[in-house]
Amino acid sequence: MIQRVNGFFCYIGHVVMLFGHTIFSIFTKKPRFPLIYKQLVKIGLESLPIVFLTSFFTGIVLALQSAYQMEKLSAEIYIAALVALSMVRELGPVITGLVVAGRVGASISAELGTMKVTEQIDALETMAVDPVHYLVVPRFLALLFMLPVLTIYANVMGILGGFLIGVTKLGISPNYYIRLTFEALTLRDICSGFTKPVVFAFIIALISCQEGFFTKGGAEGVGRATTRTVVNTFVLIIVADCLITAVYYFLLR
Amino acid sequence: MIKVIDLWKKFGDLEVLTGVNIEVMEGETFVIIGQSGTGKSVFLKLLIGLLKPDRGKIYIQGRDITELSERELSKLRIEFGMVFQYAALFDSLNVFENVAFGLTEHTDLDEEHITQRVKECLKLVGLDGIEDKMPAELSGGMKKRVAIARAIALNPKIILYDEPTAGLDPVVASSINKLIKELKEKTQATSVVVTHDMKSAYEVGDRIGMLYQGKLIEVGNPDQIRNTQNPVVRQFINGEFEGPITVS
Repeated sequence: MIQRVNGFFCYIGHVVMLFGHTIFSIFTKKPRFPLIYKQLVKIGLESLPIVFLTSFFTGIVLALQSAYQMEKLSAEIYIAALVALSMVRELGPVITGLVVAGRVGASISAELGTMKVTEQIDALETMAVDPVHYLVVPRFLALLFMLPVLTIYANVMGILGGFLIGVTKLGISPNYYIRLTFEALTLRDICSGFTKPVVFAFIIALISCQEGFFTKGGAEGVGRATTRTVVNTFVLIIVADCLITAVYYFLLR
Repeated sequence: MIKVIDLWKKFGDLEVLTGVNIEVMEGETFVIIGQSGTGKSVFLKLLIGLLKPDRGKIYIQGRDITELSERELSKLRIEFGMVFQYAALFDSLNVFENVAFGLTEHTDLDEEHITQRVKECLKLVGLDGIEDKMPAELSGGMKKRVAIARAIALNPKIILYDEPTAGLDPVVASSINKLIKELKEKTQATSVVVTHDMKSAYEVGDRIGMLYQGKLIEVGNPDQIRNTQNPVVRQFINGEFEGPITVS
């Protein structure tokens, strides 16, 4: 038990140290633009199809499921607000966070883990190149920029899914649906929706890089690191989401 | 050039090095032999500052690297070239980019001069026209050669070889030994080679030291090692099952 608690605090300590080293590198060393660009494409552009698929269909399902209930109350026009608020406040950031954690986080820890077990990270150090600056900083910056962008994209796609159902199945006019959507959204919703992806980006970048850097034991170790990355980031994203929602609900009303 | 005094290193409860002392002269090739798991690779990683010793001093060109900050160590590492056991080429970069890596990171050379130097290094290791290939497309021997080309690109004063012939067939292994000897002549670099391949040790080493139970138990030139009376070294160099070394 004591060993597990000790292990937990060691893990937290390593993540904090990695965060400190990353921030220090960002502000003190020359940025590696080609590597950042490569990660922006890999993390952002290549995630568009899966983010589209999940958010667009979530929007459709959300509209259909609520229509099922709302029809009984003749309150179908509230579906536009329901879809918009659910997507912007909650589902857009969380779905995007989880999809990116699964797709990108796992890939980062597998890539860095393989580099670790094949001594490529040691090779970087022997060539006087800081592995954190070379490997972590580009991924960290790309995630920090791309996760909010992907979240906006997911929000728009989700709302579009709801719009499709609202207009085609429920007979709401397109202009009216759009007006209802914008009327429902407040600045606080948008702020809450933007705080989340920023926090999630920190979680995904730090956990996946940390797991990659501390991989041991060949292919099996890489597999374990990847699994741990997915499990830990998923849990932390859900917990962080809950905390941010609570902060906005209780403190920033 | 390299002086190691009373070097100790342990991982958890496992004592790996328990007081190693070595002095390697400028331009010399020093080979460290020993069973797998005796801490040969750990010793190399200590020499280049990838690991910190628990006790002891490591002097490189008169500077104690155990006292250096990470930034100073990083500067010092530019004077090292290291060839890893499994080459450790960067998967995401092609052969050209791998060899050019140190040059683009640490010199102001323009593209033309970098290309020229990369071609020169690849020619030196006997590989021409494979600049565009990815590491996954190369054989084990080719990977080792590219790793050597990468290690010498910045004209290092010290080259460290971790099991340079491990996993290679005897013919390719011989070609790597020949290459290490040729590089010594051409670059005048000081080399430390870690291996358990005795043929390689005799071929490339000016002096050979055997690491056993955390200590260097015998140091001598290849002939002295061949004719040693130390039963542990004799068992190891002759590859005998019976003797003081037990296989766990």
